[in-house]
Amino acid sequence: MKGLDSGAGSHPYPAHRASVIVDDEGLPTHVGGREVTSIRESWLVEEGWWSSRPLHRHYFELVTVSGNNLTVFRSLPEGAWFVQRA
Amino acid sequence: MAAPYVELHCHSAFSFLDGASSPLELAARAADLGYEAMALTDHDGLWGSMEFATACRGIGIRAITGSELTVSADRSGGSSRHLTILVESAVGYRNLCGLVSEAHAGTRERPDRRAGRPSISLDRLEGRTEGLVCLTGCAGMGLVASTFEEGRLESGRRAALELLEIFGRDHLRIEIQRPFWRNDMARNRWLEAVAAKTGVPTVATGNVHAHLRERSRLQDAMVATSHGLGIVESEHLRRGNTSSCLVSPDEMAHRFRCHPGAVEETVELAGRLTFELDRELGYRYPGAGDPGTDARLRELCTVRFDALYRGTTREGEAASRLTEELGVISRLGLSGFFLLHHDLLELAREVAVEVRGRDSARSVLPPGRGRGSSVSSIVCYLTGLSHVDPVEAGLFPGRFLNDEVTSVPDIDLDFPRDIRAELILRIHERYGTERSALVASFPTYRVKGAVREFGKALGLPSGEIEKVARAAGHGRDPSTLSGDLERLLGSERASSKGWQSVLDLTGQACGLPRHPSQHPGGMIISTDPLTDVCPVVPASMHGRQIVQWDKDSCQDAGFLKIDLLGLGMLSAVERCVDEIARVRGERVDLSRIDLDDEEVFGAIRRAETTGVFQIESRAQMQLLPRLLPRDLADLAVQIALVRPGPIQGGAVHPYVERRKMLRRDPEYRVPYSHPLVRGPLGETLGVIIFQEQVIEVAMEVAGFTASRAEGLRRAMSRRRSHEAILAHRESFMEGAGARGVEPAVASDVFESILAFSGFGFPKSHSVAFALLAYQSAWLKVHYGPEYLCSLLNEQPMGFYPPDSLVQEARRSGIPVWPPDVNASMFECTTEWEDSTDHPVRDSADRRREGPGVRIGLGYIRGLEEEAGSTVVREREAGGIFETVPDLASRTGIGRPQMELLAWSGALRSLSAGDDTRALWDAGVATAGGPATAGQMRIPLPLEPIAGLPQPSAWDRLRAEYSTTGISFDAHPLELLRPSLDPEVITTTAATDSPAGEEIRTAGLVTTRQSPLTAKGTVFLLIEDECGALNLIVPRRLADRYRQLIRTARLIEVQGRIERDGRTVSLVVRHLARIELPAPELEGSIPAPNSFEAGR
Repeated sequence: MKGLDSGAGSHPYPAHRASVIVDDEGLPTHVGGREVTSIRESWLVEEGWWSSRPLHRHYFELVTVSGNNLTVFRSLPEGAWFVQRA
Repeated sequence: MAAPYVELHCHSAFSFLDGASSPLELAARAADLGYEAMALTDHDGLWGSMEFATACRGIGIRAITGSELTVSADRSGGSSRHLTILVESAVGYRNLCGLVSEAHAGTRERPDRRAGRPSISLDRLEGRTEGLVCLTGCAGMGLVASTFEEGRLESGRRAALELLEIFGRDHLRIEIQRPFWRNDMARNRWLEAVAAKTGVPTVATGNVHAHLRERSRLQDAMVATSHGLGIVESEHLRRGNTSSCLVSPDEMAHRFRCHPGAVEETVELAGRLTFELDRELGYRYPGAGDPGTDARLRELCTVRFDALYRGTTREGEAASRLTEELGVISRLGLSGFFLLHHDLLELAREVAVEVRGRDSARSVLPPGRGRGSSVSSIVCYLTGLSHVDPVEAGLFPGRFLNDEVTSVPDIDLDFPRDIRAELILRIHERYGTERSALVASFPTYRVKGAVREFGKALGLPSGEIEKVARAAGHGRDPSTLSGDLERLLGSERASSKGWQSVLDLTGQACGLPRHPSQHPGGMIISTDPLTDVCPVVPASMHGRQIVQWDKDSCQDAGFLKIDLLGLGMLSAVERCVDEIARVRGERVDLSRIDLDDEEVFGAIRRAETTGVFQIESRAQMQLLPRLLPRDLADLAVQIALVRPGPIQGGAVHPYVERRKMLRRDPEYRVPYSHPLVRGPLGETLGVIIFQEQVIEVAMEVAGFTASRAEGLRRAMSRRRSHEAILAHRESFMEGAGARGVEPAVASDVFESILAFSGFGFPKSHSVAFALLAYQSAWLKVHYGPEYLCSLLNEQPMGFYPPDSLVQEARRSGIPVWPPDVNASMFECTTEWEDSTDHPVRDSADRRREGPGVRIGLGYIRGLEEEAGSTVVREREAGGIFETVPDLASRTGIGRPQMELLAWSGALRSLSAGDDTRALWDAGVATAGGPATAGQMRIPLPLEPIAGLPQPSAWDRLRAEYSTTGISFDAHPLELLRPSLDPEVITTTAATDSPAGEEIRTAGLVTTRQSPLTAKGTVFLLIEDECGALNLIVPRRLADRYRQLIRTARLIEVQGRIERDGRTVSLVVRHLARIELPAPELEGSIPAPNSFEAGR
């Protein structure tokens, strides 16, 4: 499972801008003000390099302090964060 | 500080369409990143392992040998899965070769012998794992890891336990990877748990597929191609991101920071994997180490010596050379090697008798002949490996054989094609399929194929792809592709993301191996089973098998390689000898012909050499009237001169000028760059023409030893290493200085060696080829029709397409007749008269005029062999055919094939030369489809049809071109002439024009060349109804008209006549395509033979 199925754009699960704070290594520590207690998975999607709309995203599957599971991604190269709603 | 990580799982381009970097690129990148050791683990093969090992040795990295093996895990209830297998010891290497060979054993079972996917059943590994370390496989397809994604955890655990049973605890590691996929962390946690349960450590690997991040795109495109899918549709098969490229050991340690033990284990394990592929192979050729071989070789040579030299003036010199050579051979332990070659030649002799027939005219010819440097050896001459007397020809075996040779010398043998095909099978029989195999070769990406493959994968419009691909030519140099795109598609399309991606991918792919193939003739023979030293896999041709290494890897492995080359000209010469015997009842023994025949040398000096071996090309023909060869030695120089080495080394012009000066003034003193080069370069008037002169000059001028000089030659000729050449340069300058050579002169001499670069012939090779060139010229001069007939039957071969050979022959007075059902055999034949077009004349007259050539029915494209053979058989049994219905009735040939015969003109003798009538008759006579076997059609009488329109001359031409590819009635230029501007002159008139004159002419393009040495200049040969003319298209113009030059068949040109002695060319200033009255005609005109530069 390489993870493209969590993509945004035309995907049935829309993504929304999120405010994310990261540590020195670029790993998220807070999402929408809530502290991240663990990172369960992280993966990279680099697709569509042959098209005018290349996709480069770094995904994280997180657990926040409130016990919620969240999938967020950082869209590269601009660096904006999105949260993926299931 | 020692690197914290060793990469143990890496794919190169030898994982064919899965890895995107060459072993050399991977090794060099690994060195840059600070790796101390690294493994190469291509899919089911060691194809690139020797190249990787030698590349790593050169840059100080320790190469670990391995392969990612595909196993069919039947016992685990799954389909094919991967295991990473690494070699610990020589025993392990043998085991791996055996396993890989077995995995490939059943891959050519389909009726069309297309390769299937290799795989080996897991239980076949039992008992064959000593010296091997198994990692449990990659994240996606690994035997253990893949079960996690599939939710078959129990089956994964069971597979781990099975592997534990097969490999043992010390030789199994649970492989964890971080491909940055969605479930990496969970999968690796589970794998850690499996490791704890089975009690074996985990080990981290990178599953590298490219040496640089930018190459990942190429890897994506290759994967899509390999599955025949578009890039979008192949998403589930691709890696999904760029993390599978080689990164530094520190970065890898960081990537696996949650698994520090798995990172440490890479270093730990690598420390145990000490097998050195390039040093521990243990290969021995048959006869190596047998103490009796020296005596047997001496005895063999002595018997032949008595027959060939005893009592001659050469006896003394020959005897001392023989003693010296046998001494060197014995000291090097190579007697068995020569005996083996002799054995092979004896086998070839047996095969030749069977293939040729005991009483055939060609049975007196040797079964094959040597080429290359071995021709300089008297031992090779005496054992029958070469047919040139090296004492008489003044050849010395310095390069081939000296006390310092470090690898087994090469012996190349040329055979006629039919003998070679049979011989390969017989060698497999004699030495066993376990001990003999062909050498592999790896076709690399070329621009045209890359554009097609990647354009298709990226979903670009097929019309655009074809347009670009067709303009791209056959080379591997993608530098002009960008300009082509712009010109052909316009700047908007050219700059589209899709086309820019194809441009990038093509640039990256060109030169990388694409798939494995078979070397034209290299064979490996071994004492021990070959599968102990290299995997052996079935070849695409039935009954043949190949080792997984190409000729360079085989040489690095020290394998004894025998080159059995199929040489079309040898086949043609043999056919010709047989044809002469059939037609004239004369038996020609080519070994006894006069080697100083003035008539033959006259034709050679006039460059009447179309179809002659080696000296027929445009460049050779232009040089012949300037060099004016008078004997075989001159011919050897002539052949060697038109090679990239002498051309780039600037040898051609000075040599030609010095020859001219010497002809005028025998006292002329040749200017040598230094007195020390007078020895090695005396016979070639001060310039380097032959390959061995590089060695001799280095030895004379810089005091190099023979092996050091050979090292220099090899450094230049193969996989050029800039550093290695610089090192040689330093020693050369130092050595030359010590001998009192001025630095400027020494530098010039070194530069001339470098410019030569080893891309030239050894003298011995040229001498061997010169003899065949002379023999073929002799046959052409004395038996022109039979010679033409043989060339036509051996196509494709040589420089010219069949149509050009025929037109040239007809201009020189040899009649060539079209195929005819009442005269043609299946192949072309020589006839004394055209029995179909003319009433039988006095045969004595015809004999004085000489015979002509009848084109065979086999030349008719699309005519089935069965139909052609039936016509011949029925005619010979029942006499000539009277009418088309008679033919249809007696042969049962169906309508499409009958119409093809009519269309080609082969029914003219049945329709009084009326093609329309023939076509009509063919249709009527075969109405209702082909007759069934045993039920012949009743020949219906045909009513004569009046008023059918007759085909135009253009119709006839189109019919001829599209059926036989040869024009018999009229040359297209003859038909075009009335519509051309009166200022457009014939090629003959152009040839007679004075130098400097501006003229216009036109013709059919018959050959097209863009040699690398010409730096963009294109050479065309055009032909009209009168003759042929060489065109030189300067680079600027060639660039501008590239597409026209590549696609136009008929062109009109304007330019300036250039003359050099009797050599005439037209330097083109303007060229244009000639539009034909019927556009569909252009497609039927045969394409020119094209010789384009590779990279």
